[in-house]
Amino acid sequence: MRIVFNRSYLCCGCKRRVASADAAIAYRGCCICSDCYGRLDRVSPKSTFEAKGIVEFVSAAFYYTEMYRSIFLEYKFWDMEMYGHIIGIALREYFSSFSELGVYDFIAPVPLSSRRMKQRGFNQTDIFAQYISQAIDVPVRHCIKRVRDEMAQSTLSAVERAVNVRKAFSCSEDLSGMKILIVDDVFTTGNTMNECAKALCQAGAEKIGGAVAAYVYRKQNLNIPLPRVMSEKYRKHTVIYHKGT
Amino acid sequence: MEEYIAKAPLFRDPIYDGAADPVVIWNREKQQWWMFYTNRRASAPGPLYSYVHGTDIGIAVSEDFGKTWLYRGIAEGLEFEWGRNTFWAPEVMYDGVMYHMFCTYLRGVPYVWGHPSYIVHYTSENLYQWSYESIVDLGSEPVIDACVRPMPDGTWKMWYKQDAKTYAAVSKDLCSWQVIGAEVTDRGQEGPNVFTFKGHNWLIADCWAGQRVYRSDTFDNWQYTGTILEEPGTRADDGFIGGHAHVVVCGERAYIFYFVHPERTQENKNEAWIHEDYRMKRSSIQVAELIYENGTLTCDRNAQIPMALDPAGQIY
Repeated sequence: MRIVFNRSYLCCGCKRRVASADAAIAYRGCCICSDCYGRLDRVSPKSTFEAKGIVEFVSAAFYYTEMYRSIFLEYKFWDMEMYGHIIGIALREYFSSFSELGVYDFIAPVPLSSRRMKQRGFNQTDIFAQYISQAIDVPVRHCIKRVRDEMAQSTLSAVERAVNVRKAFSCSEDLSGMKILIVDDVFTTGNTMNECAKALCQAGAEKIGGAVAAYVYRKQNLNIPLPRVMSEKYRKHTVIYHKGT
Repeated sequence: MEEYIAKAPLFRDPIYDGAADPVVIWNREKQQWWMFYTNRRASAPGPLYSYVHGTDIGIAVSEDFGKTWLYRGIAEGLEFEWGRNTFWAPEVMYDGVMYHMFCTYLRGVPYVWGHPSYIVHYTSENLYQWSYESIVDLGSEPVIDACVRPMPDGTWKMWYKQDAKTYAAVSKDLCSWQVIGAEVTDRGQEGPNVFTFKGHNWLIADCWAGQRVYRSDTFDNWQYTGTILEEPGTRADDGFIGGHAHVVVCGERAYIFYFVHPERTQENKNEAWIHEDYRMKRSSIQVAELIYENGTLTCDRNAQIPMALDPAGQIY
């Protein structure tokens, strides 16, 4: 007798178990269901936004609105690495039609400080960079180093962010004439990406573009302030998640 | 940011009443939207086509995300040689560090068409004081109506009118340009404007009977997909063909700014006398939303759709 297992996945958006047929993207035991996937605000293909300073543009797969935000914050701050792969798979899908980005010599993910890397255990941007690399067939190279361990950008205002991240990065490699695509998780003010770009240009890079998972566009849609300390709401979510699994 | 129903007309030039060829850009320093336009001298007497020559580049400013516009003056520093000269159809863009203007230039104030014209490059840090950089070497003239966009590989591409066709040139530094040649040749046109919206690159061009819409996924090999603004609208000052347009893309929405000669009609548009009659010479700026459907762009210029120019969002 053959046993058929109807596999189900836990949705990272609504936290419900859904059948595999209802999973838009699945990774191991986790997925994003079709409903939640439909509630992500997707950027039209091949769109490029104005970046800051010497970064020529930034492309993004999603707008940073509620559904994306709730998934992303749990990924970033509550070690839900699987969520990162789900976003990553969506990024791979989005960027695979963006063949113009294939002109870059390599992808440089924005690094974490060693302290934060130790705390978190993974660099959320690295995972995104790997998936974007697969999509546009450009290799990843970890050439940016964080030389100052500043406060987390997500806890600061726009002005504080600019000061906080200043001269936080360096690059000791020779990048003469290189075209580099910086990858980060979220584009808010553009300060982080611009500081990375300065370090790359000092190392000789010729052109700098940017790619992120999400672009903060309609700030008025984000009524909930970014938490300095993770709010009860997210603690609660996490508990539900662990119970569910 | 509150949305609003766009006024019609959106803007009239209070000095000469001949605003045309608009281009709209976010002024990052002043946190305002700025509109540059050819300041046609509609209200000034003069022979034949003198009212479209001897023109400055007018500037109107909006502090409420495009709802209302205030005339502030003209772009300063454009004159680079002696005399009273002619400036048309500015292209104004930001390269991440400073602003660039590519403006059509004619020496003096002719009163008939056909004088030599050039595209001149200026730079600015504040959008009102401009420094002359160079006359763009495009091999031959007359050339007019530049549109410049950054390419995904970090280079720049310019589209412009020559021989009533849309030509193209490329540059690595916005200073030296290599002419590619004619790129859109299927019908006479001018005033090309290129932008990316809903995953496609678009080129719109003024064919004097509306704006022809072309689509491309590669910024060349443009495929014609339709014509917009060819029928008169019903809003105030919007009852004639929409002329030389510029599109601002804000995230998932796109707005087309165009000019209209509101008193002209299909019957009189080719008559000579209209160029010496103030009512026929005057022009207004209008705005409408572009909608992506069935693989092309449509524009219902009569629609009362709430809008707002959000400075964040997709720019290129």
